[in-house]
Amino acid sequence: MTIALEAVSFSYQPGGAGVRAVSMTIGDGELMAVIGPSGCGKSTVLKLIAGFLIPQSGRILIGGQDMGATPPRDRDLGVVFQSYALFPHMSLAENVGYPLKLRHIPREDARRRVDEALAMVGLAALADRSPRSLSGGQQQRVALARALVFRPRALLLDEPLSALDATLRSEMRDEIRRLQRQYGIATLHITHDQEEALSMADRVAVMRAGEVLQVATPRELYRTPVNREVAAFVGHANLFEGTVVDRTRVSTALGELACAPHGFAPRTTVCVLIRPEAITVCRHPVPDAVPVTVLRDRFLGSVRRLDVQLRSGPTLLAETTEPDLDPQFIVLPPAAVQVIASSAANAGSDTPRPSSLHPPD
Amino acid sequence: MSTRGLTGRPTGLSTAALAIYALYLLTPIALILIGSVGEVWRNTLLPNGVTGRWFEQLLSNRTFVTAFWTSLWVCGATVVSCVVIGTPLAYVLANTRSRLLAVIGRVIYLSPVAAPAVVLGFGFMLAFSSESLPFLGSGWLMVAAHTVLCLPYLLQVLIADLKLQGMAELERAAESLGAGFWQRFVDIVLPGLVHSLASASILVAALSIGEFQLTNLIAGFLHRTYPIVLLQAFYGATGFACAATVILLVLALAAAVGGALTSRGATGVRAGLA
Repeated sequence: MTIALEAVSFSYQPGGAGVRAVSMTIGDGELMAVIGPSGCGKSTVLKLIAGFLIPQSGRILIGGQDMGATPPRDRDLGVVFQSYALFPHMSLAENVGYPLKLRHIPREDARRRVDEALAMVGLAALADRSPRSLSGGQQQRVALARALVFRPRALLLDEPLSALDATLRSEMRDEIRRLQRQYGIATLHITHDQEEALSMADRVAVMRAGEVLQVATPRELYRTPVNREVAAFVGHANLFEGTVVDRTRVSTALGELACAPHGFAPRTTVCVLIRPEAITVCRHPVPDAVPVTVLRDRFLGSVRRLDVQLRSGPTLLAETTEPDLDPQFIVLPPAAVQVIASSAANAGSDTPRPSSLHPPD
Repeated sequence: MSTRGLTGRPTGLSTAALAIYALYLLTPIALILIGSVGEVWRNTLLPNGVTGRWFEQLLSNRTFVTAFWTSLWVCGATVVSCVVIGTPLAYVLANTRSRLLAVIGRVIYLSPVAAPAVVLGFGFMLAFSSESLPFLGSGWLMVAAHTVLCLPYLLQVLIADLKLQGMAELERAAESLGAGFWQRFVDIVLPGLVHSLASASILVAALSIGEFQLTNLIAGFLHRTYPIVLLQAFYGATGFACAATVILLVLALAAAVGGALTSRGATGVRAGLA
């Protein structure tokens, strides 16, 4: 079952926060993550799809059916909340069985499905326990079982891992992905954690100030961000203002650099993106190498992240996988220097948006 | 940084303050308890002799026995009335997005401060002593008056609990699972409020049992409550007055202990110990 948003707008107060003309489609069985800073409107998107808010304009279609003002209880969507929202006066089995009770599923059938759902999240032995006696991760599993037990048309996850510690969060990412694949259900995952989004999602939508900046697969999003805002939000990035010289050269504070081919017209003000891992760090001078001074060296296990300063003043974030290298020079290969739009305003006209609002076939 | 210096002194101070407060609170109660079994008490620190006759006199005094039962049924009816009116009202006020309703809620909260019992009493006297509304002195008017007085306290407890539990989110979860309004109210909201309803009811009972100012103005002669007749006792023998007060004290203490045991904190402690 697909979820489609067509130019959906909503504002909490006239001219205030909300979302503007949001369009996206979540395909059947697809996991779409929505990321963005606090207040960007990502949770509003979820509330609109769930029916807790009604769009002021645009349409929301679930399985091709226009939801209009259909109340949440009739949308048949499984929602997992940040706070888990387990009913404290009910046991785990009662919590999971509640949507089945509302649907008047015969008792024996309901019990079997509750047992299956709890077994699926590894909590069958705790069926009679109270939610209060569980850890955060266990509560999250119960919330997932409850959201899936009635075989909803789609699954909506509202920052479901934000209250968990780092180890458990990583474990639950895999758990959610496994269940989502097992059920083959269209899933919207709201998160502020880009690592979570990139590692779990089939596609990621990046939002800012109520608008969708880009919808793309995690790889596309990282490799070809549509503008400076997306590049800054996804992964580590060196971002400089630049002016286009020609199709393969750009003028920046670092000097005139050879860059990957682009479609911007000469003299256009652009953003120059250099990912830290695309910079070559070396001990001895090689062709095109520039000398640098290391300001900071962070050892992160498999990688070292360096703050390096050029003689001309600017600093860059660079990475190397060599644990014992003494960095003296860097090389900026042309492929490492990407020219992108400096803002959303000039993203579309001069360069094709490397994103797709709709799921891949 | 050591915290001993920071925590030591306030702990000592707070223990001393608590001891002084307990002495201040318990001394009159202790004197009343002693006085209720004292034979003679005139111009001495403590009474002379021990007797149980004040309680015997009290139990055989029809005025006091009637007043006791009047107090109990007014209290019971007030609790029922507050729960029936207050539960849906608390739910609406806790969930409202209307500024007007929010303002009305705040006014209700503050009404015990803004309109003291004596002011409400005069209001009731004016409103219900006319020929068109001749209800002054009736038991049901007393229940209505006690409800007006006690409702804000019940609302405060319920609304605080609704917010503490994140009931709005729990309801959204239930709604997304397919529950309509009444299903949510019956399956999620009411069971969630069991503890606070119990403790708020006992608070209302304690307030109603001991209410004097408002009741004294509207009670009339047929439906006098226990605190009203208690005042008369102080014009007679000291021992009898003390014995009569002990009865009220026992009722109030029972309500206070009941309230403490049914509060969410207390049940949490019990659950933790189990």
